[in-house]
Amino acid sequence: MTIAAAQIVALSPLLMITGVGCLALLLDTMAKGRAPALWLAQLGCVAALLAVANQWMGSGSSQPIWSGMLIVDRMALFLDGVLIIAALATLLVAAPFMREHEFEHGEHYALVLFATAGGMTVVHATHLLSLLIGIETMSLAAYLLVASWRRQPAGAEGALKYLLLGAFAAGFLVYGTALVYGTTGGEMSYAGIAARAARAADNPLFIMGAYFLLTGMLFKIAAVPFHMWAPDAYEGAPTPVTGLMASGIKVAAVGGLVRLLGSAFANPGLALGHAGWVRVLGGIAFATMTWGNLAALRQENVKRMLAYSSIAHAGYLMIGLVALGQKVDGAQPALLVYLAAYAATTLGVFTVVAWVGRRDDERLLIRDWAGMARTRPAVALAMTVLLLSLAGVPPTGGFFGKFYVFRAAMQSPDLAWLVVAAVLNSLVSVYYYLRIVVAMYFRDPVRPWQPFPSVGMAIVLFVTVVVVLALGVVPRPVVELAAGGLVTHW
Amino acid sequence: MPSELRMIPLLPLLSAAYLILFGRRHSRESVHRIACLAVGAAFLVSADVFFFWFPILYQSNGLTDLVGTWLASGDLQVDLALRMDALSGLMCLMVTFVGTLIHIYSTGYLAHEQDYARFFAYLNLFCGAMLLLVLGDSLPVMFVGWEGVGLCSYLLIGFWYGEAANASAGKKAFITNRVGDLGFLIGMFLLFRAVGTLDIPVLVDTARAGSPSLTAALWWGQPVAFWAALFLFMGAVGKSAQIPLYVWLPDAMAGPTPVSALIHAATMVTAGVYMVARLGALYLLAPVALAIVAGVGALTALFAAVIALGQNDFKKVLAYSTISQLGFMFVGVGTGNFAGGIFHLFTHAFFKAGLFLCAGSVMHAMAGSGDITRMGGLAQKLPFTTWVFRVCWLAICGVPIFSGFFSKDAIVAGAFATEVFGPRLHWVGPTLGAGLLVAALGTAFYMSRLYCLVFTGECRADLDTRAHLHESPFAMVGPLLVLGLGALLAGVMGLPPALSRSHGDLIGRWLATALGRQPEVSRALQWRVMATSALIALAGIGLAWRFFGGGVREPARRFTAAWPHFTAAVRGKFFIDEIYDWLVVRPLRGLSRVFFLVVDRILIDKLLVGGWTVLVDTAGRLLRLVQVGDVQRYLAIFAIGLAALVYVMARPVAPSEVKVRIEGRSATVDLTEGKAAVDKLEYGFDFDGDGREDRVGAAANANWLYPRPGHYQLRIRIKDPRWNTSRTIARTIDIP
Repeated sequence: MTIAAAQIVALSPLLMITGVGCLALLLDTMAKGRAPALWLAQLGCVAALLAVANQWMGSGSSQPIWSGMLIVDRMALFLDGVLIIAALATLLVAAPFMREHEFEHGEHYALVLFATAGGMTVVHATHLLSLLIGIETMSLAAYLLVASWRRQPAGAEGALKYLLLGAFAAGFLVYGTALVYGTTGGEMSYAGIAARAARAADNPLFIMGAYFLLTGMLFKIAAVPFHMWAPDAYEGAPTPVTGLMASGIKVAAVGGLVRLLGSAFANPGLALGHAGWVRVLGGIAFATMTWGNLAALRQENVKRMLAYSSIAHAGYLMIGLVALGQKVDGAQPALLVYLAAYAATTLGVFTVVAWVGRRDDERLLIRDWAGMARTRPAVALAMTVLLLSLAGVPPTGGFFGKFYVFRAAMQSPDLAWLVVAAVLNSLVSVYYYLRIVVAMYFRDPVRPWQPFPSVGMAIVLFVTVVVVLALGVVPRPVVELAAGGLVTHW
Repeated sequence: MPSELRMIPLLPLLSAAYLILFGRRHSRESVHRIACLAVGAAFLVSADVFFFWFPILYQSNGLTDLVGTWLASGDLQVDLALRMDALSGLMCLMVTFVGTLIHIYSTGYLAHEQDYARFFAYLNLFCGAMLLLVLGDSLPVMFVGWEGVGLCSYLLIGFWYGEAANASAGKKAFITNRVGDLGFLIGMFLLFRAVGTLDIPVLVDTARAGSPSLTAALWWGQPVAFWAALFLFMGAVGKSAQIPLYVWLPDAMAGPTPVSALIHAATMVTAGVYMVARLGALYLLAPVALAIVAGVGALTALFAAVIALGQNDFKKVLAYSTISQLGFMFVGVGTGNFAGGIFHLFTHAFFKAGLFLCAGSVMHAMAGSGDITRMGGLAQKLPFTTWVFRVCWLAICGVPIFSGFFSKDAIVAGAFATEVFGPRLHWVGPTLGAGLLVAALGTAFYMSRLYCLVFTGECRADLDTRAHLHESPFAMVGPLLVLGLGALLAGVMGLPPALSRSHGDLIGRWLATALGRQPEVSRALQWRVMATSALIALAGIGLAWRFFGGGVREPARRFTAAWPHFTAAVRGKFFIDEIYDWLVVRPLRGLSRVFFLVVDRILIDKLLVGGWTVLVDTAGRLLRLVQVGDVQRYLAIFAIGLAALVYVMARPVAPSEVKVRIEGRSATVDLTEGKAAVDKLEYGFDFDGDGREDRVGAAANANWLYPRPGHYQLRIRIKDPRWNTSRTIARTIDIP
């Protein structure tokens, strides 16, 4: 394995995030207060974003790194951008949140960067080992982040469940890797697996290996029936961390799945047919969105409701993966547009959830949100826009994300039922999203509102709302980016 | 290409956005300074572009400002592009000029209004939307403007929403327009299906070339062009208040008077005329559609003029007069005389805006009342207003020299001379022309009645009002004087060629490239029409003076006594509102009640919501069984789920279709469903139900010859050798 300078440059965003994470950890032990670590982490994100842009402008072709362990291509760079922005938003929101609730740790900021670095590794991975490393880096950081609010018993509980179940899922990942390695004659790179897949598809052990890998990844995106950890972990985690889990970690896992399914397991003998993952994933997609939406209907806790909503969105996303398996043109860019819109929306939503609470009064129940429109009209309006985006109502990014994914799926006649089910599901979801809107606008406040000022949260909220609306009104630039092109208009 | 074109709609739009967001924080002075400056600047930019590029504008297709691609979906690509040619340039100038004047007027008229910023924000928003409508280079962009002005109209009619009548007038306008907009959309879809684009220049070129995509028959033997033109006209009927959708405009007078002047007289309501002229080439392909446009216009012109005779509210008279004049314009564009229609649109903008602003000034003086039976003798108290009113009144009556005379004549002469209807419908033009002359008589009569009752004779107002009569402040009088000047002079743009060989029909020549061929009017006909219409105008004024000069006179009373039913019908506006109420509103309300009771209350509330609750409760209880929180159970679900997944995946799927074909004693079975198999499966066919497989192999089809007729049991076993799993399907076969 040779390490050339060009490869270091190509991988600079990932290296920057990792390095800055380590530095922030160091700085936190040496510097006074938490602010230096925070500033360093934020600066690191900005620098990494610039590096991503630089790479995007620099080369159009994909570039294998370290003998095919990783790859730098347009999809990876696009998702890098989304992940880094998610990290930056999380940092901006986490700092005031932790100060308000008095549990600010400097490690927190480093951990956000480590989780992001893991996620970036996942979307760059073209080798089962690098995938595993990425997933584990991301997950370990996430376990710690969930548990970081030590005074909250719910946080510890959620983190423990997440850890135990995550370890179980990681076992499947490793075991699946072993099975695939064994049945393909020692292949672990995606390209190598794809080359042997046609013959290996006759071997039940290979298929089991593929499914074990799939299961491990589905656990990360919280697909039914591997989603059980999500409501507890989402609810227990500090709200900014929940936002990161629902946006960044989900984006990374879906990106990893797109790579895994789109290259290593793309062989028709493996994807189609009665044992093919297309059929199985279609069923899981249906179960996931339906379960998520039905369970969300009656939740009284906003965070828990959003956890189920995030499960439902994993279902919609899997429709795009199924279309990818059917070799539909444009399924991959559609997924990327969806991910970008979804990440922006989710970050905004959790920013509001983080912002409404005060010390010892998190205001997490829907009835706590009553009358918010009167005291904080701008925040209520922003929340309404974001919720409509989650529900997929135009003119928001959520609408266009769904539109592109569903349109891709509609090109395959076998998937029409899934799209119909998804549209019906979206319809059901409007009900619980609007419950929050109704509470904010049409109910009298039960307790007085005492908003706390925060520039960081205001920035994140403003930017996410603008992005969500811009994606809904002029989706073209992001669609062009997702298709791998440079933006030529606007 | 000048990218300042985009500044024209953007300036008022930005100002509107700013005023909506931050207007309340500013003083009145800053609010109206921002608003007036934005529209004024838009006027200056339009004038700059228009006059700087004038030679290019009127000799070519105009200037385009491509802002970017707005929509791209499949075959549909819509650019957000603005285009200024002679026609849209002229409209732009008119909208921004009149708009600026009315903004200034409003600063005086609404000086005591609480919600000052909101009013100016809406007014700015309106100007922006109208300019987008005018400048839009494709039908979707035009439609955005079209809907935008409709929205502003709704917002401004209901500006004083505290009173239920105003709010419901706004709703009426909005809903009536929605009916027309449906037609606009359908027309757009038809054009897109036929031509594959919605860019106006491309559509116009396609239509001028007589492309078969537009002339092919669509329904009932009529070409695509006819249906598209007809549906688009439906939109115009709504927006421009023609029969049968005119009913919203009189009610729209509930809005503040400057709004009536700007939106419901000078600009928005003429959008339909503009649209038809813009797409004139399309209409020329379908003479029947043109005849419908012109016919509806003439009918409306007459009908509204008759209704205006019996109205006693200042603004209502003007509203019906607007409807009638819009009818004139539609006859103009409907007879292929697009320049004539636009010319009248232009002069009408001046004199009608002037009349409305006079109405505002009068009502301002009369403490808000618009009842003309309580007015009279206002000429001495309101000298400036009276003079402006006189000019505008003579203009609308069509008295020579005044602008309305020339533009009305252009339409009437065009109607007599037109040849667009072809030999079979050649009688349409002269009939419409004659109808318009009658409508012109009515116009002269009701406008003179209005003048007499308001400004001549003794004042009939109560003492209190009479004591407070006063001329309006300069902010109101200034714009009035400018508009009066326009009403007097705007006619020079379209002098008949018979009067001036070198400077005749300027507007027609400017618009020649944009609008295409115009009807040729002989000099003799021009003279004849001018003479007749001048006589008619004077006759109408004279008659009105005999009836109403200095107050209601004896002949008027005798007329009312002799024709009581007719008078009552006219006063009651022929009870069209009541008829619509019975025909449309009540049945709909009944239907919605039925829907509410049956669908909403029973189906949704009881069954669906109730059903959901039961379902969700059950599901929730079940979910709670698993989501109790202990990790062991979560792990069990994980494992069970994975096991179920493997079970489902490993079993072969039964084919959705088992095809059995029987020919004589031979039966052929086919499971391939016309697709190539992906899985390497093994099939065993047992044709006679004896337990032995007659055909075994990788082929998903097989045939079998039965020894004798009878009833047989067919069994097919499908096996996946990878997992050693199988599934059996059974069918019965009858061999005859």
